[in-house]
Amino acid sequence: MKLVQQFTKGILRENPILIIMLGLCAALACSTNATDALGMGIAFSFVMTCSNVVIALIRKWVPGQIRIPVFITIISTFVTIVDYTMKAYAPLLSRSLGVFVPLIVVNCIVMGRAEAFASKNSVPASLLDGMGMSVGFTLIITLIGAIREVLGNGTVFGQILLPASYQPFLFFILPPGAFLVIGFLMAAQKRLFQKGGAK
Amino acid sequence: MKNMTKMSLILFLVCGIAAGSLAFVNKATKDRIAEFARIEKAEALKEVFPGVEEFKEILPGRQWEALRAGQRQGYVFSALVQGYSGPVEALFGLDLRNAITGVRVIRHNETPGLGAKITGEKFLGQFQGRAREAVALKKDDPAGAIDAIAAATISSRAVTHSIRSVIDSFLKGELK
Repeated sequence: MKLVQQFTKGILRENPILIIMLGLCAALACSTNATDALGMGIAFSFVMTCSNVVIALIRKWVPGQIRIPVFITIISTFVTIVDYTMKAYAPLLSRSLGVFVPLIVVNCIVMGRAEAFASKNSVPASLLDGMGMSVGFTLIITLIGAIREVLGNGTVFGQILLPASYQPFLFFILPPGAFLVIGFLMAAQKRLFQKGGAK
Repeated sequence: MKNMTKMSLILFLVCGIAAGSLAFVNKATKDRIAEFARIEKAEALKEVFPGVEEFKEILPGRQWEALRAGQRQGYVFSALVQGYSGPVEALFGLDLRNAITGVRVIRHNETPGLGAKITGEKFLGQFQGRAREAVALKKDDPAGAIDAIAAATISSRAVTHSIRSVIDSFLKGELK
């Protein structure tokens, strides 16, 4: 597979949320508005990319039996770095994401890519894979956040978008709204981009 | 056995590097985090008791004396209660006539779009200038002066009740 494809596959063909369907917890919980969703996406991207690179770098020295604890240590280190940095430099964002930043540790996409990709591929390929997954995740979670924010609150990134006469549909800000939005996005991407999906 | 030693060594090395880098990040960020928490608390105190220059903590985290030019103007209290989904902490000021000078919710985990409106001025502004008797929801108590937030009665009631009960225990002399 060409290196460019390692990057682009994460965006559509193997999108972590819509196709692989891992890490939905963060995608559902942190997408009540576009700002939080983007923040979550950025935090996730840092952890995803860095841990993929480091794991690819040390993959030859780590015996198979202890690879899981080693991966978890590496991932949780990056998560803690992000958590502290956010607390220090983006305290408001850190507050509204709350426990979901530390919970990136157990985000299955990070662990999944470490196990399925970075532990078997070269550093450049893993870097591109991590970046592609990050972009795919961030795009989709921000899109979900924006949709939920528009429908549920009439705003996007805190900016008023719909006229005051619009009665906000609170349902979309509540958890069930997240499932509905994500379901429709999955259906849409299947219809638009997958061969054989449109029958 | 040799394998075992090798694996332990690798694991030890990885953990050592991880711990080292975390120690570094902690050192680099901890002052800023502490500083921010301090500023935030100071801002919240000023907001609930406008026009006061100095706050002296008399019960750690629970009660502050509000001073202007060394003269006591009243107190600021912290009211902590279980809300709809997790603890809700509010700060409020009481002047010398025991009327509320302002309320801020500084910590909560209520539903976005519903209960989270307890942080809004539309809800909290209603407490301004109220005395003990009026601090109740209109729907619970005929003497109450507070309108609950639509579809968030539990959150509204939690804030109102916790403030009322702190005022009560203050008036009974249970606080300083």
